[in-house]
Amino acid sequence: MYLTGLIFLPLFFLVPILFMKKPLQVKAISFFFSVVHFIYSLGLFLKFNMNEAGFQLSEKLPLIKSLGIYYAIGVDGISFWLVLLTTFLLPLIYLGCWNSMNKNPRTYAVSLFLLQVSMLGTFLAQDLVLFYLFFESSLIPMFLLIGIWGGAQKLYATVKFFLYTMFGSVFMLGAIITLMILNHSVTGTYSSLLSDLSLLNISFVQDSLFSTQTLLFFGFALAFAVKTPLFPVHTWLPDAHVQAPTPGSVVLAGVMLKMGTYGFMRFVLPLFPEAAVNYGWIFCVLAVFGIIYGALVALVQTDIKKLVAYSSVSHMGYVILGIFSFNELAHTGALYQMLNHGVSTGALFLLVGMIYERTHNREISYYGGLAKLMPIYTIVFLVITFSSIAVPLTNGFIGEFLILLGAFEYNYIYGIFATTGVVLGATYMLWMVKRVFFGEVSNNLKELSLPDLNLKESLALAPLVILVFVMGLFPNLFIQFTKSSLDELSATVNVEQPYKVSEEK
Amino acid sequence: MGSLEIIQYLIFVFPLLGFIINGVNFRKSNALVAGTIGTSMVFGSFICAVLLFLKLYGLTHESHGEAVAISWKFFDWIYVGNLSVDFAFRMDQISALMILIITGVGSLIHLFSVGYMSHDERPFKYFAYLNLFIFNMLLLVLGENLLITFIGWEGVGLCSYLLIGFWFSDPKKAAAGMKAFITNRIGDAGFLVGMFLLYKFLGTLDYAAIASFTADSEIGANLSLGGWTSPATLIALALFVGVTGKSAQVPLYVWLPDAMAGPTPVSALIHAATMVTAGVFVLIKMAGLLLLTPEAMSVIAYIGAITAFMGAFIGLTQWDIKKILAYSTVSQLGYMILAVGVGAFTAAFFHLMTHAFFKALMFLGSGSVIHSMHEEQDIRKMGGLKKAMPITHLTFLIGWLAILGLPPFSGFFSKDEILYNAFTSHHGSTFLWIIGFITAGMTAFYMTRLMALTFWGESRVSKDVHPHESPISMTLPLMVLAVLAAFGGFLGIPHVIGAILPGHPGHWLETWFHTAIPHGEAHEANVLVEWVLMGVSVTLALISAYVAYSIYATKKMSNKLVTDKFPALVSLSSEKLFVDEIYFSKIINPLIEISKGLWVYIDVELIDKFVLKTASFTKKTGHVSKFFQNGNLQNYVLLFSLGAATVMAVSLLM
Repeated sequence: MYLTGLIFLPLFFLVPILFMKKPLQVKAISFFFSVVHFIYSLGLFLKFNMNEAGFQLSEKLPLIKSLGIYYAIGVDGISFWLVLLTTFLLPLIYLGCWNSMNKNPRTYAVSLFLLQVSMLGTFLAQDLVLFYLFFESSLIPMFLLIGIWGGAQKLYATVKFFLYTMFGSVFMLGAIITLMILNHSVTGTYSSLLSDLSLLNISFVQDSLFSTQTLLFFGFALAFAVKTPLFPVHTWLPDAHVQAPTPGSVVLAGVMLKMGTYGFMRFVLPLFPEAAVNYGWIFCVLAVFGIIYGALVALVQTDIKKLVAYSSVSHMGYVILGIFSFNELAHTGALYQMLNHGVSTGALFLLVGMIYERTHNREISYYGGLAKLMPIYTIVFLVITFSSIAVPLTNGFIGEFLILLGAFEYNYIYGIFATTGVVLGATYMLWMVKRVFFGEVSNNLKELSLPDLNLKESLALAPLVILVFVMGLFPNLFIQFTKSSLDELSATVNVEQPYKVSEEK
Repeated sequence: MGSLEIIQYLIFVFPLLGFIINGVNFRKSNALVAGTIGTSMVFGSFICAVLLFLKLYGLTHESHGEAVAISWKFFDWIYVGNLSVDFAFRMDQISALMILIITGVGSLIHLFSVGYMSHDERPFKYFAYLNLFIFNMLLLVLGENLLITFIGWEGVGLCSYLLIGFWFSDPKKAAAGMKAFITNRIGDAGFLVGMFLLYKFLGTLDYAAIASFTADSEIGANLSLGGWTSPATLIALALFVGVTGKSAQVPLYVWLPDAMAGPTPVSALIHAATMVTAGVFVLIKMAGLLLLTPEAMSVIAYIGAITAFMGAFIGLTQWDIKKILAYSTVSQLGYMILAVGVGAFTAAFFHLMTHAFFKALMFLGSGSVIHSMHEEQDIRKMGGLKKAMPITHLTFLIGWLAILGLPPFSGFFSKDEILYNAFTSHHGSTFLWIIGFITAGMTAFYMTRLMALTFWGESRVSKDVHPHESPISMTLPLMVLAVLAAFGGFLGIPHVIGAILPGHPGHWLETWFHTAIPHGEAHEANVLVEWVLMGVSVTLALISAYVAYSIYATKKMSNKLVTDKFPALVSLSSEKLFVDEIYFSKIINPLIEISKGLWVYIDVELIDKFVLKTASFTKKTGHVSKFFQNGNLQNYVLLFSLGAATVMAVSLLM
């Protein structure tokens, strides 16, 4: 029952929250519950056995027996840290966005807590239909967030978001149904359990686009590519981010994007290994292109938030490259990079939100010389910048290094092109930092009183800053939990490892 | 914990502690307190370095020709699959000398900074960054593997970024910091690729393992198979891209002259004595691999020679005292890289060391001048400072003699060893020697020009500036460095000179590096050639120094002869070969234009239009599209539930 509690606890939290009236009360109790939820999730450390590769703490109840649809959940090394990331970020969102959540705090609580349910369910589901339900249901609270608190063009952003997601999900739904039917034709019973479906030997014909496995592979991959988002299905993201209020952006970048890359690792690789290896090059090429493309487009953005959004396209490109490099180094790097992105991009959106709260402006050209006015804010922003551009001893470096190292092992051509992202990433971030923080104090800022970070904001950012360094210095602390599961995953997709000259001895 | 282990920790703890203490206090402003903390921490590190050096000295002595090193480990760092990288260190003979230079010269420069930064608003921050730099530099040179080196490598780049843009309110200075970081990042990407290839081919990033693999004849043969595309060549060239960034070689040297925007002691420490030599250091550490690839060696040698020449050529006509020293540094780094390229690894290190002494000395000297001239850096507005600043002048004079390469000053020994090797080594050639030789002549010219315009001749100082000698905290480091610049060369007395001296002193460095640096094929010593080469380069230096002295100090000669006849050449030099302009017009601006194009045409015009067209197509074809067009939440929920219901319905029917 532990995991069920973990997923659905937020629903119980909502009951008292709905009876609260005063905004302050609502915010305080919501924050309190988010902390309780996080503490509850820490129980995973006690219950999880890191030496086991498969699902643990599994629970299984039939939902529709005749169809083999189960409420089946469990956690393994791949989902372990993503679950914790989800519960970890919410209290920080409350602290960091405290003042901006005065308008309709109850609806905020409803949206954010419902999002937690969907996201946790997505990471923990072991049944494909259940997964699909959680995966899709996350959209509703996200629509609420953008729809209620969004900016001037929120309608355009939501329509785009909707179109993209529907487009992707329809194919995944089709693929899931096909899988269930396949299971029936092989075993005689319907099932949407991952454990059953992964036993299927789905027929794969080399070089035929229409072999079953290939079609199913692309059905799933499309849905996850949209979510990630992978070039060229990424254009919903910048608009969604710009229109979303800060809490929405943090959840979106911090956790929701990972539902896509997680989907690749959880379902696409284990269920369709041959197709994945055979058509992986498409994803590697798109990922590498996305790394460079996202960085270049980020370079010329004039809105800080849009810049960070495009940087996500670039960063998530690394994750996809890692997943489709099919070795343990790259897979570990990809998983690490997901967490990094949650920490650093989450922090970046919080930081952008904090300054927006003070100036109500996000244009880079509006700023200048901010370092003089808000020194502590500047230091934190710089630390997160260095994490985002993967300076060693920050978390970003471990992820990027492992992905690129693994990519070189797989195919050095991808590796070389992807490495250019290292330069471009530094360029767009530092150029923005220079224009916003350095130089003379801009005239726009002179008239404002700009208090430095307050206590709540500092408390929101402190854990993220600490994580940046802990994850950079002691990656083994994190990797040890993912090792067994990723070992197994890399073994499912069998790709020849390169020959090393030194092996002769 | 034995005393040795404690020292191994302390050498890192001291500068890190200094960074933390000064970093936390960043709002208070008192240069004396901050400087005392900063300086004593680095000095503490220096003591540790000396103790470690002595320990290794003893071990090396007892080892009778076996390779020895001191190794220690802090913790496991990254363990994934077959990759296991420890946070561990290994001090061999090369690193041992490096840490002495870093912490020794570092201490002096910290001390100098106390006076130099006395009027600054944020000395705490300054010393915090400077301490962090020392910490990263120690990681870089002591790392057991390339990945630890890379932490330091990027870390020093980060500190350099922060210190160049230390006075960030000036947009130009902030831009210079950014330029340094991004240019270095291009190099770092190359360094990363080098590491990835190393791991791909050798499965290790550990210096010792790499050395043993490359020393193995069978593996070595495999690594060098394939000429220009052999693993050894690819790895070496990728790492060398990193070196061109950090050690300011063509084509990535452009950040170093701009880096002079930082406080002058920073230029002395980071942009002359230590960080910029990191590339040379890494190449020396990878000597075994380089020897497997004559192709990469020749690239390295030619890039080094071209850089040496270009730096000196641009230095001829600059007016900013720090810019002249910066281009001089580029040029001298070129010499070191040239030495690596011709397989003279010991000579490369030797010049790295003597250069650290005399160039740090001259940079600090220029700092002393700038400080007393109230931030004036144009040598046209100086002159005759000899009287007002006797100590600065005298110490600078020694630096000048050293860089000129006049015996017995340190630069003479190291530079001549490089030129001799360029001429005689089978990796070298007469052509490389000629470039190095002409560069030496230009060096003597521009340095004498600088001396003459700054310290000699009549004063052109404006009336409201009253130059004065700097306080003892600034002149003491100058004096210590002057001693080192004068006598540092005795660590590498060439055999031909040692043979005629009483007691026959040997080449100490060569002996010290005996096990740490693999030897290329030995070339036969030619006593006559060595004497002749020495003779001609000293003669050339004297002649060009005399010419420059006559033009700029005594005005007996005029440079009209050249400036009138070859105006294009002069403007090429004074406009720095237009390299920055070319980079902007050919690379940076087009890249920005392309990016804008990508955004507007691919994101907005192509993809978005396609998505929305698809949507409106659906709209035309049926009323269902209403759902898609208004993005209404209720509709979505409805659709979602419908979808879910359909799954079940369809499945039920089957």
